[in-house]
Amino acid sequence: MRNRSLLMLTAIAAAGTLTLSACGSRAASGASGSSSASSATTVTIGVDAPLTGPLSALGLGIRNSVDLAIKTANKTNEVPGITFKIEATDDKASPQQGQQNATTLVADSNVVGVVGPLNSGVAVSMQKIFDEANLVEVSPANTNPSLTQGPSWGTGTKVRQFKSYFRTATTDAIQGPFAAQFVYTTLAKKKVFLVDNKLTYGVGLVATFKDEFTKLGGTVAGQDHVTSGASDYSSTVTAIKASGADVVYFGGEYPDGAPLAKQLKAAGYNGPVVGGDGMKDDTFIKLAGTASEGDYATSVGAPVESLDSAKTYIANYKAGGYTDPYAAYGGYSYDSAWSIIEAVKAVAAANNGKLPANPRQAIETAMAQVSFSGVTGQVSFDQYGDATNKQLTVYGVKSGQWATIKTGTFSG
Amino acid sequence: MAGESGAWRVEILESNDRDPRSPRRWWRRQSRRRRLALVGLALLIALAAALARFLTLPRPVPPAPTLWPALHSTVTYDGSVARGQGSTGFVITVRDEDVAAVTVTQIHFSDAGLTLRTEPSLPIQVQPGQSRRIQLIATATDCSRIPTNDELPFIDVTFRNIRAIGQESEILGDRYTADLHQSMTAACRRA
Repeated sequence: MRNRSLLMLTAIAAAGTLTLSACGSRAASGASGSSSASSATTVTIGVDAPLTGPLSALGLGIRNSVDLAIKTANKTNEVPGITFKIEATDDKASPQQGQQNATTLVADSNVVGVVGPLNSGVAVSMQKIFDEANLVEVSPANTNPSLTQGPSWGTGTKVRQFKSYFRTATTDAIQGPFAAQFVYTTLAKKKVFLVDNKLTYGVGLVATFKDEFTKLGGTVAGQDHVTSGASDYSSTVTAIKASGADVVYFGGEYPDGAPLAKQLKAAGYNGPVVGGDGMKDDTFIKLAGTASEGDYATSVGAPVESLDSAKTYIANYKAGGYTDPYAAYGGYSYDSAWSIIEAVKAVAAANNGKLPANPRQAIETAMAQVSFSGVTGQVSFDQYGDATNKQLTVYGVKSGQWATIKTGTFSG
Repeated sequence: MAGESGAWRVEILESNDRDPRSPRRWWRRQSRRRRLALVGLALLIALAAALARFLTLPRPVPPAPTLWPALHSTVTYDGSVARGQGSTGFVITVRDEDVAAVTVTQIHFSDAGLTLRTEPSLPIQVQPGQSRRIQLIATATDCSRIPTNDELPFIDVTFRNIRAIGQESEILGDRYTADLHQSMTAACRRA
């Protein structure tokens, strides 16, 4: 009898407990990765970046980050019924190759948007081709202001150039003056020697730096132009040393900046070399060696590692098994790809969950309204196609590594 | 067929009920008071189990305040106020977007020829999700070190939360730049 009583009690208690537990439990809300409809539409997000050559360290970080965004969107079924795939093209940092790639991507009707390019000079050769096809391109790295605001932006006449062009990186209209303020005020350097590599990005960056530096009261001790890809900078080094400049500002990328810094220090020059985002890569330190110690570079955005919003991205990038680092533009590339995904989602949502036969025009229109919390912060675009998030960081080489010196935010 | 099926079911039920080991028969044999006590006890056990589960459920952990307090604070420019005697007040709003309070400990102008005091005086604490207005009172002390037309003057603001101290340059934009140049032109008696 006693056993029966216990049995009965246990049964009642167990039933009650199970019932109440079921009521109180919280269902796991994680997205399932297998809910794609059997009739899923597959669309392509193109990538254009230098995947080979001296700038491949940056280009591969761009490609991998777009790949990660696409895999994430597919896994979480971000746009129900639509599967994304990647098509990566290598522009070798060449405007001609970029132009060919743009033509190829436009010809593929499955391509609904393109992330890239890295170089502002390459972007110039691609913008018109994309624009004529209403194919959206979102650059994570172009900083030349003319690309969005036109050639007269410096005089206050800003005119949007291409309605299909967007970027998540901020521009040299802020980066150059911010660097000038840092050099003049923080480093207390008053006499600068300017060097550019004759390319769109470098020339534009130096111009914005020079303008602000002289307005602050600094003087330009000299200016020279080097040929990108050259290995001997001795004539420039001699000119710098003879000028009496206490700082060198370089507009260009690390494959040129690093040997310049190395040859300068080897010749006994003691001032720092300061550059922009094109110089801020670990490869600069590898190529220049100990000569890079004490040099500086500004770069777009806040350090990705500092952003709470980037923790998942960094963890997933590591887990993704990519052998190349995400580098300077990885977070911006992920956000660029995600902005296209968001636009596709908006277009599909407005069309009963399906993309129209030719969705490019609609996606281009939808981009203007895109707004989401991304890896690099809130992502949206202004009337020119520029990122509304305008952050910058000054890095310095300390003990063989880039260290964060200060961050800046433009809130005007 | 239907009738046979019904008889079959009834028979099974009667058979169970007649079984002296049947739980139902056992239950009916208990006194009313005992049955009530047993139900009450069972409910008590069930409630205790549910309470124990509720108390041991994993709670969402509030995010820790960031190591980068500057990145979770926004600074916007509101406008200028004439102060007299060569001084101008520039009003900013500091907003804390973090989950912990942030304290503004220092502010500096980018121009070396300006001295700064604030109203209210620093340090100023801003609660999570809240904003505080601060007036930066600038006085020109060395006009030779105040640029007349730079495009990106900024203020350096040092933030502190319970985990870290961080500084950020706040580039306040065109309106601040224009107000600063105008007031310093007047203060330095420039044409």
